[in-house]
Amino acid sequence: MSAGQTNDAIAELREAYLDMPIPAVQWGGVIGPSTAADLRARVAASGYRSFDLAHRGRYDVNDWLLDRDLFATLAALAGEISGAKLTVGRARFVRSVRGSYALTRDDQTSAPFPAGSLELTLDFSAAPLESTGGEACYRHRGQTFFIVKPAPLACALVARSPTVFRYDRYISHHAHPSPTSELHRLRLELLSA
Amino acid sequence: MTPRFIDLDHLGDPSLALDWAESAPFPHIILDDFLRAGQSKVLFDALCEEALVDMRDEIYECEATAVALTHPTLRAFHDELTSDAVRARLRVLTGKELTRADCRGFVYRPGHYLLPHSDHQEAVGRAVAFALYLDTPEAVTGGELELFACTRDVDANDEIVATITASLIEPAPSRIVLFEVGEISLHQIREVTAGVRVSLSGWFYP
Repeated sequence: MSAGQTNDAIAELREAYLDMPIPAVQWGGVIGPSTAADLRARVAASGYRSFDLAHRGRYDVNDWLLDRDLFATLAALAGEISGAKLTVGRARFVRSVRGSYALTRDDQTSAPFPAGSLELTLDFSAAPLESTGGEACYRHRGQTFFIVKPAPLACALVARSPTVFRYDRYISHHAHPSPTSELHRLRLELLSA
Repeated sequence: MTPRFIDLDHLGDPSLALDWAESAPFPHIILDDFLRAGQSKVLFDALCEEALVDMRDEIYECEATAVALTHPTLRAFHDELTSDAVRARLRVLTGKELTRADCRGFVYRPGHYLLPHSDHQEAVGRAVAFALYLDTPEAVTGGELELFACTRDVDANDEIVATITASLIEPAPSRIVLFEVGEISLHQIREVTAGVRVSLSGWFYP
């Protein structure tokens, strides 16, 4: 993962990340298809619980599986890009399908991200989402400033604070009812060390 | 003067007030044949001549007219909806003194939706929401108005801790749905999967 990123690539990502008014970047090729498949299998074996509160969202989540090596590797990569020393906070594996969504109220109701924290998203889906929707939209003071599109094997890093919120756009019925219509994401809270 | 669009006799049925008060999960009423015969098509044709804009944000994806309707037929309907005669019947029905209303056209095509929300905004003062469904050339699949029953936890700052579907209302032509806007008037428009759903919707204000 980190080893796959050259110093030049890291420098480019850092430049892109810091170039945003609120630092944010998305880039591809972070993991390979086999790593993603292995991760999907491990999370599936661990299980998901269904989250369904109409005013907040509808999705499946696993927030108990601890893959310390993966989390540490991703935190190190995020540290290289952001220039910050980071520790891992909350980790959530989220599975979204047709009809799934998560509103900012869901993000607000969860424990808030402290100032100086980051959110890393790793997309370990099997294939591109065959539907419209699923984007993770980050907002600050009512304005969307960054959109993370569903992109298998890609990663996104966004600076969070108590005034930055995220929502996941509703996934429409255009998604085919097959495994490739599932969106698998790991969301990692990274805290300043 | 005889109303052009709205069947006042139907709206004036005194039993509706009881239906409103006893309905769950929050006060609402479903009234079929709200419009006089043929007027649903007249309003649909007028709406077809109104400019629509794509709307896409956190909770919705649809097409809508501007907040102020411009077509003379639609403006005439809006005037009738907020006339003394209609407001007097709505006062009996809802127990609320209503003075004015917003009215806007909405078009939902396949893939369009409106996710769960309450409409409630303290500073805005919406009292009663309405949705009047119009005739469309293609029958719609999906697009139901879904009302949720909410369970709140008094020990957790009244946070909503459970939501279940309490009512599912088909968007039948010439049907109007009215409901009381409040903190827990949680509702959504389910995704349209085929056809087109067309409505005139908005809120009445005190």
